[in-house]
Amino acid sequence: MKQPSRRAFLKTAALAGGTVAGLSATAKAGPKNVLSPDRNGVLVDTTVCIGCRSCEYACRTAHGLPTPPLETYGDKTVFKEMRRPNTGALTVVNQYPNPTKSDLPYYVKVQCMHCDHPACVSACIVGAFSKQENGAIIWDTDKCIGCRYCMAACPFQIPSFEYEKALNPEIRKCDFCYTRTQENKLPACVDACPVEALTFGPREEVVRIAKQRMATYGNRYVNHVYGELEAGGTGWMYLAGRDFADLKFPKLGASPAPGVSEAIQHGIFAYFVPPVALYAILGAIMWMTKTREEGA
Amino acid sequence: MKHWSLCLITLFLFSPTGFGQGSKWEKHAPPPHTDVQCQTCHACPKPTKTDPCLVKCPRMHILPGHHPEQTGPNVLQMGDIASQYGPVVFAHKLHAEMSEMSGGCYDCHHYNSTAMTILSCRECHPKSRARADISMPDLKGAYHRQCMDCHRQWTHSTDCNGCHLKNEPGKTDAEAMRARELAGKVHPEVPLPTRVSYETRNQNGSYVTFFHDDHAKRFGLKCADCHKQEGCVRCHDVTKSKTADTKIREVKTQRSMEQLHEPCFSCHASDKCESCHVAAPMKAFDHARSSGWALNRFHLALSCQKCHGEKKRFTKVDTKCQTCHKGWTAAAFKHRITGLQLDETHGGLECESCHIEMNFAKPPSCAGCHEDKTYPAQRPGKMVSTTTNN
Ligand code: SF4
Ligand code: SF4
Repeated sequence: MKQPSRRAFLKTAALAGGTVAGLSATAKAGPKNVLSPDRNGVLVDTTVCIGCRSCEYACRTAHGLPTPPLETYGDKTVFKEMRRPNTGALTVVNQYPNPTKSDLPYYVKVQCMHCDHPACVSACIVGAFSKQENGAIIWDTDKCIGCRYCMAACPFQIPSFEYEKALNPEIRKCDFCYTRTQENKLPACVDACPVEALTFGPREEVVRIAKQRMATYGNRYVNHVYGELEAGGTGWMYLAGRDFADLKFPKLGASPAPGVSEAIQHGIFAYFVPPVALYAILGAIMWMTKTREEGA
Repeated sequence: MKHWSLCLITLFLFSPTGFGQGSKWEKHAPPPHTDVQCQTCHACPKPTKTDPCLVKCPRMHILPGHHPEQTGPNVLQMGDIASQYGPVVFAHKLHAEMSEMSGGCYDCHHYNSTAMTILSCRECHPKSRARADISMPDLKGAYHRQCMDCHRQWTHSTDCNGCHLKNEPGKTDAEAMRARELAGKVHPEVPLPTRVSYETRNQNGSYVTFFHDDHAKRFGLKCADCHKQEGCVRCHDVTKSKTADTKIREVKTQRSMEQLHEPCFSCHASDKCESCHVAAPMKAFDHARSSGWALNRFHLALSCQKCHGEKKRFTKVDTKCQTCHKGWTAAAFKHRITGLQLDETHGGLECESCHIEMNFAKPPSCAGCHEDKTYPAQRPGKMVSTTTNN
């Protein structure tokens, strides 16, 4: 175990860093954005995943979402279409052909990447989003005003919005099973995966394991750990047997790029717009957008 | 004892990467791989005979050799999740028999101790998924990785109930029944093809005919000599005859030129392309056509190796009787053994009179004495039954 003093120091440093990185204006509200050295990560080995979708089932059950019976998850026809996580399914698995072994297609589980430098946290103007010590990016539904800046900011297009709900629509995404991990349980998907395609552990350790696997089973993998550096590093990382671009992973640089979102936030706060006015403006924008959508 | 441990320390200090040639090591059978370090197998710096402090999971291929598959367990029952499912019945022997062509025992027992004991999965793979050492999969992951890679290929399904039977009242006997059923089961004999003809992209000769029967039976090759990394789906595929999901199946397995030729080249490396790539599928192997010497009766019954030496490249043999039949003499030879009993006149002749230059591959000639006779229209004796040997 690490020395508490060192950890405390690092936390403060990370907090300070986060503040400089553009949260000064909301410092009072203080959305948490810590980069703890103890943060967790998950390695998704897409060469091991068998596409059973047990993780999808476990995720829905753990989050109290409507869940079809487990037996129906064996249905392979769902793979005919590419799916994205949405408000009803916070994680989904997609299938891609394996050019060298047609009988063993690749499967890629998609969910929030739990970025080290989360664009969603930076973009959220009311500080509803936060990055916790254990690495989870969570959000506070009570604070959320439904502006959907997080959706626009996320480089992986993860947060989704309950458009279908007229009253109290909410933002939804994978929360790294925050409640479960607080109780020292594994994330539901990690726990359920029959082949342990999902390896959960301290992020540093997860990166080490990923590199070790590439070194030991060289011809199984392309030489890249997706997420180690992408978008400034992510909590969830991937190994793959074919080029990540072929598996529809966005090509991202190593710099955390919440750029646009920060600009919006800074712009608003730079002119000392009081929160009440802000709500009014945003309300108007939302109303307008909504009318336009309904009209379309 | 003192001397022994001193020697160990010395070796440990000066030769950490290899087992030295020191005489004391004679007591310790050297591991088959020279790159094995002491620490791979011994946890303490001073292993002794009484306390060799062997590492439980050495994580290295140091299995000294195959043990006969009969000594492995027949059927295993794995009941780790007894609260939800009945035990999984695993036909160990049946799988071991089949594994020969796809990596053998190593496929599952990939790391072993030097102590000649075969480690089971649970001895290295921990039962808990939440754990400090995440460098290898937990037991659940390890099991499923081994099973699912093959089973999902041929069933195209990842359903649990192929192996796991849910605990339900009244179903308690199901596993026991399955275990009994699998216990005596052996893998059915694989029907071997006689001849396989491949259509290739070679422009000078697109057909390659492979005489499977000859290679497997006559030349005595073992299955694993050619089928080294054969997936189970070569034979097992529940949807093969049905219309398969085209989305998955349209991608053909790509194999490089080297990979395609590898099984042939281990023997035929010096052959020219044209010896295999020809314009039409070849007929079955015919000794007369290929060598000019038709085999009959006794010679036909022999294995190829008898005349041509061991498998791998066969050498051309001349047709002199003495080459194989050491000490053969014309005087002691009874011609009737060939099926033709020479009449009195011809029985006294030298072999060369009819078999020109003692070349028995060519038909005999009557021209030396008779102007108007030919063989086999006219025969120098009578045909006799060749089924008896007198
Ligand atoms: S993937 Fe998107 S939603 Fe998840 S932490 Fe990163 S920016 Fe936020
Ligand atoms: S549970 Fe594991 S193996 Fe199954 S689809 Fe999810 S990640 Fe893949």
